Amino acid sequence: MADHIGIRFNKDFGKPISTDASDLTNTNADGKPVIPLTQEQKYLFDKNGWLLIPGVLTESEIEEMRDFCYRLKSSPDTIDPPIHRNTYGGPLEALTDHPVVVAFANEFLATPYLASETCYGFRMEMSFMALRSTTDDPPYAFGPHNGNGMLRMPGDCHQYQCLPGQAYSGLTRVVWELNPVGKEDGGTMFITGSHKAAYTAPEVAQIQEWKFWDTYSCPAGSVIIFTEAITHSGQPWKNPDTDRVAIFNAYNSVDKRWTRSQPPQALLETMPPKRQTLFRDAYVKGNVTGTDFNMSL
Amino acid sequence: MTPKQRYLFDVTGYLHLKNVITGDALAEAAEAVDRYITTPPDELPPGFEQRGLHQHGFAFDKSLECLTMHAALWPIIKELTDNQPRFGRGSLKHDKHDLWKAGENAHVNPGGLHCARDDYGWYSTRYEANNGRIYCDNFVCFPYFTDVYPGDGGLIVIPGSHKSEFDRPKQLLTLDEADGIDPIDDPVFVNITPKAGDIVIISELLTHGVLRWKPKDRDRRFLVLRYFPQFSGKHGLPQPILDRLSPETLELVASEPYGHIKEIVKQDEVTLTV
Repeated sequence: MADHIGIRFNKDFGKPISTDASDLTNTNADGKPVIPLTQEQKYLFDKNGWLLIPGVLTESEIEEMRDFCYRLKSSPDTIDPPIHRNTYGGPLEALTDHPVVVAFANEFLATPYLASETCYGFRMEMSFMALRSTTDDPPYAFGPHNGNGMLRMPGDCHQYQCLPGQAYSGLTRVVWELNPVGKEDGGTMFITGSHKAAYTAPEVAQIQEWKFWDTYSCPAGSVIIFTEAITHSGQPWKNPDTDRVAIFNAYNSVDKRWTRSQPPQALLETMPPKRQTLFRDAYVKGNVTGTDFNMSL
Repeated sequence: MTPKQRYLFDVTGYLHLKNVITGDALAEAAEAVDRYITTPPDELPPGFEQRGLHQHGFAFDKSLECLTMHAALWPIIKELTDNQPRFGRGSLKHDKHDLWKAGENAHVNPGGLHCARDDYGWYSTRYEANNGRIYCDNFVCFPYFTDVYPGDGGLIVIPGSHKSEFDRPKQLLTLDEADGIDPIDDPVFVNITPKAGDIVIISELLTHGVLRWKPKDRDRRFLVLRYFPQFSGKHGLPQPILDRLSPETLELVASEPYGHIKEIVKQDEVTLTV
């Protein structure tokens, strides 16, 4: 299992693609450097199907984003201009191509010949907010779903594929926790490793107390990335001292599209050109900006 | 192998069978284990010795030998080897607090993490699912004769690592400098805490290790039973050990060609006749 070997093939004649994730888009649309994933992060995500990166955002970023989320829920009219009244807008726009997200997607999602310094090699699929508290009526329900993604054929976005030293995560969820989350508070739950499960989950998987359900604790400003190929679930929020304030973004490869979700067109047009490439149509041939389309890498 | 066992072994790389050796069978096995451990080396029967582990512990007594084909294990052994099992060897592990000393290895690899990829090469061991069944050509069963509680130490595993496609980072765990032996607790590993009568099964592809045995008033006793396909390799059991084994166990340890079905495999449960 080499750290990286040319195991992805060119379109023609099985010629290996020579690019590494670290060769792909090196800065985000704001010019911030993209730091490639560590070997430990790659190992843990592939093994578990989910990855926690704690403490990514600064205090000031967290505060501004959290305040925006509360306004979005309780007083969206106070947000101007109106095109920002969604989770693609306002300060949350910076999350869409945060350097941590780009680094992850370069490794687990990006198509090398569709990526450049002017164009991301992956797409953004959707975005929504989870603002949960112990007073939710009814409480958010435990509802396990997905799993077994490594055994799915192409055509289903909930797919996970891997070869020694290389993996593809398919539809991928990126959860930004803007408040601290304790282990018992009610964060997202996972059956670790079930993205590679070869068997149907037993009935007991429907029970939240089953000991194979995992979750996490993290400080505010952390990000949890998981493949939608893994069995996972939300759950009721249990900490009366704080709310769950989380942004759920999702990403996919350029050739696939799971939803019709898009930022408002007017908001999209205000974004830097590189960020706009997150939302380009789902197709391959010629789907680049700023460079020629060339599959012979 | 039940659907639930299949799912869990496939997802995690291990199975923890609880309370499967019970009553007189457990009492007799525990007594035999104690007898091996407390017998002076020069009074041990031919073929037995303590060399790290208590060698060939499975053959010390019929109550231990029969565990190689225990009713709870047998369907799993048959499935994992596609009905072509071979028993390789089986030693007895006696873990005590005072066996543990701080050493250089704790700094290099706290927890002693390893798997078949490290020990035998990435190409050495297969794990696959086919036809609704699991195939695994190198696995270990650990029948326990004493209790392990959370905080005691003992076996740790990294669930799901039997399918990992990325190299395990060399410094995955961090040494607890104050302790000098164990790693700092980390959510990446699970400490399995079997009780007497439980059996744990792991694929050798599963990254595993061990924490220092912490209790000073209790020890940890279990067999290490190793299984392979019958068409791969052959046992290295010495003649004095072979001479003690029942015909059914001799058939289990025998190497055979592809496709040969051993008589014991045709049985749902195997009872030692001698």
